[in-house]
Amino acid sequence: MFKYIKRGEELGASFVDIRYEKTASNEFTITDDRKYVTSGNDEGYSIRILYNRNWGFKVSDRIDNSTIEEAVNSAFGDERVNIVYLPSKHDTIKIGKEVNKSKEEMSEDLNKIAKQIANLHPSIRSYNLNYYDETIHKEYYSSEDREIILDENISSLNIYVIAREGDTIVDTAENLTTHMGYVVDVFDINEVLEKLSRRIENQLRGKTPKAGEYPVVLAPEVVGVFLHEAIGHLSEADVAISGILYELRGKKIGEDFLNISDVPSIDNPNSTIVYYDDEGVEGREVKIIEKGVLKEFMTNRYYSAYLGEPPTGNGRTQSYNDFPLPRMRNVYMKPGNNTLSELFEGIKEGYYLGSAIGGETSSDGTFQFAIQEGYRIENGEIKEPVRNIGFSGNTLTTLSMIDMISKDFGMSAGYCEKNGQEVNVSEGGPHVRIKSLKVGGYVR
Amino acid sequence: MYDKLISRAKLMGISLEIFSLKLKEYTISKEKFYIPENVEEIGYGIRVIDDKSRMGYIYMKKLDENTLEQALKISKLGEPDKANVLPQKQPINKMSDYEVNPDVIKDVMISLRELEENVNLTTISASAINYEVSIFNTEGVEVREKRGVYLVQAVASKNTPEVYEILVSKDPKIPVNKLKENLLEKIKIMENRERLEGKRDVVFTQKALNELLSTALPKLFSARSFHKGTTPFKLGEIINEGLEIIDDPLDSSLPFSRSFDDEGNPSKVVNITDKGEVRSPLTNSYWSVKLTIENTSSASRQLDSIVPSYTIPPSIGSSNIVIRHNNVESDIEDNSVVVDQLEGVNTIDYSCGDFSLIANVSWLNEKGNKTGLKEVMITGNIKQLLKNLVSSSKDVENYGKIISGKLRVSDLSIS
Repeated sequence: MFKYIKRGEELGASFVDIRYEKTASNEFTITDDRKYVTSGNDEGYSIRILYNRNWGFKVSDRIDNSTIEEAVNSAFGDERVNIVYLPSKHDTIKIGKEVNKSKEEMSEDLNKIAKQIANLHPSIRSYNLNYYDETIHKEYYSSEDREIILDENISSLNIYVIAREGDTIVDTAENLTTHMGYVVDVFDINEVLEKLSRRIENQLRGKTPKAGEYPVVLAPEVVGVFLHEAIGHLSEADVAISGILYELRGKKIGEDFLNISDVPSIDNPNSTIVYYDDEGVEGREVKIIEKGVLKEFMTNRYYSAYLGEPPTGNGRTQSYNDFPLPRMRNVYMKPGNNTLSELFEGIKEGYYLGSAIGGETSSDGTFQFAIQEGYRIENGEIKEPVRNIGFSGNTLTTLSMIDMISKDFGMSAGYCEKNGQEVNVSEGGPHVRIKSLKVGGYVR
Repeated sequence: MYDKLISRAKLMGISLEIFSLKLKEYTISKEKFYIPENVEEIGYGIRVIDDKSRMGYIYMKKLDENTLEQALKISKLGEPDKANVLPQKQPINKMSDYEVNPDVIKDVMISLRELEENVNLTTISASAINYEVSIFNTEGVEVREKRGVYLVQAVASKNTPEVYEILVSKDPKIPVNKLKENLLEKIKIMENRERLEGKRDVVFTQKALNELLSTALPKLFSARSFHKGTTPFKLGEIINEGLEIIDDPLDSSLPFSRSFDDEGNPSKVVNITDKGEVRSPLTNSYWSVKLTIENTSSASRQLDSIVPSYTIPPSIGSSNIVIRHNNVESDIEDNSVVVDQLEGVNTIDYSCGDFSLIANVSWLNEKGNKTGLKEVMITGNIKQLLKNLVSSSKDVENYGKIISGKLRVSDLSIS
């Protein structure tokens, strides 16, 4: 590959990197109506060059001198690109464990799970069980004499269930993703199914909460979604520089016990693993908030240079088709000193939010989330379930309202979409108490 | 290779479909720096239905001699299902092949960059997307079409939430100036924002309708959802006497037009509702056979992007969604909260239609005076929203997949 890099340099490029990617995937789809399997292979190259401080970027199924020339000729811009350059490095790594199951064995396992889902609750009208695994081979080469060869495996299971009683229609979903082998063997599927069954029952019986501002306790899964949406995205350098956090670097925005980081990997089966990003950069911990102080942002090579910070290894892509963007890997809040029961103590009326469907945040810091499992709290005790619950607020105000963090810890995994690119991510933390949060119920 | 594979499949007594996509996309985007992206790729999706009516799907970059055997091996893991069928050959009213010109993209970017004089530009981008879809199968389907579309986007702010505008268009005179004017006008309105007091009707702009309905409607009106009872709508019920919802793939001026759907069935205009009555759920070959109902040719491999994907088998989706209401008002915005941009659309419940969203670009219109609003939350249900739709504006426009006037809705909860 270095001969093509040399060709780029001969044509005047000051920097050249080439990514080659080859993937093989299997996907089982089982619904209440049908079952089929999809399998596929994909491969291709991306060539990125810097010419007169402008990017050129070419994606192709093949590589030869003409693709390099096309990449150089595509350079366009206002001659203002500056990136971080790295020393020479050659490394070959393997991430995670292989999925050691035949397709026939998987098929049998998934049939059993599908049967269990169908019998989870008498009100189930429809379900979708989706298993996916992928082996990914990536090669990265750059004009800095960097050669990073990486092989990884990922395996995931998504379950989506819709139930109906009369005119009440409810749904619930669960996603499991791991690099640690066959997802069905890594996680306790019965525990997951119990969770889904409980959520259906809760949503069918639960009442819509009265809108207002309440103290809330967030479970690790909801803390993870909150961190991902309301802090993580705002700390991705490309978003951060035009968002609310940029001017607050070095300033205190939370209590001393507030510590939020994004790391290349974490000791948990849900961990996303990004030892090298898609720009061949070694991953390191990004201490977004340390002891309540906003410290640093997640960068790719460009934004490291722009911010004058050491590279973090957050330049990620969905595939070889895409240009690397600053993206999260494992964003989490570090545990605190409180017991879980202490978080509930003293709450006269509030809500315990156990699991989120999703949410969205604007760069001005407003966020909105929807919850698929929640309960009312009365006098420090968890009471009846609630349904159709959402909450909203402002990131900075909400961070300043966190008054207790528990000792426990949980992570969950999923996928994140940004600028049309989807990457796997993980998020989590301890239980967290927020003194006041705007809680709203849907109105029918 | 196509002929060879199809002939072999016929000899083996199995059904085979070869879907191929050739993509040429040229994009320039700019945040802090410019990124020119030049993408060229070819991919194939192979659908096989074996002699036991089991379906298997494989995708790849190159077809070879083993393609058929690989797909057959995968099909054995599926369940037999008589509804697994491929479309038969049918006459197609072929639209002219259409391609857009990538050479204009640089000029579009120069024009978009002029916005910097007035607002803080977060992102601008312009794409010329040309692709060719071809579908061949053992039942005689042999269709091929070149399609092209421009995609232009701008995101900006000025002590306001980020406001975006998107343009998906086949028009060679890309209406960039209109996009810029809309963006500047909305930012100007949002520079001074107040809290909403009191209850008002809500008017959704075409942009907000695209966010709220373009993904939700195909799911809520799919034949599977009716069959399973996982939609709040019922066949034959009258939602709103003045309302028409139409899926129109045949208007060649619209960005999602196509002569055939993503499994090669001839495109049809589908009146999902007629005089407000729910009439035609969207189907593809599988669901039309399964439920013994008309095939509306709504097979889609689009996911949420413009270009269909060769990596997935077809499901049900829409093309261009036309929404009309027979009560047309000339001054629809007066004395209403106008909602233009929504936050949290990924939390809309596509089974029951409930939503609770922040309208982060919205304004109060009182006799033409527009006052930006702070943190407006709208909560409701899509069926209820369509029921309470009272009128449409005269200015019918295309935004993304939606073709509609602005729509006025009463009795929606806003706070």
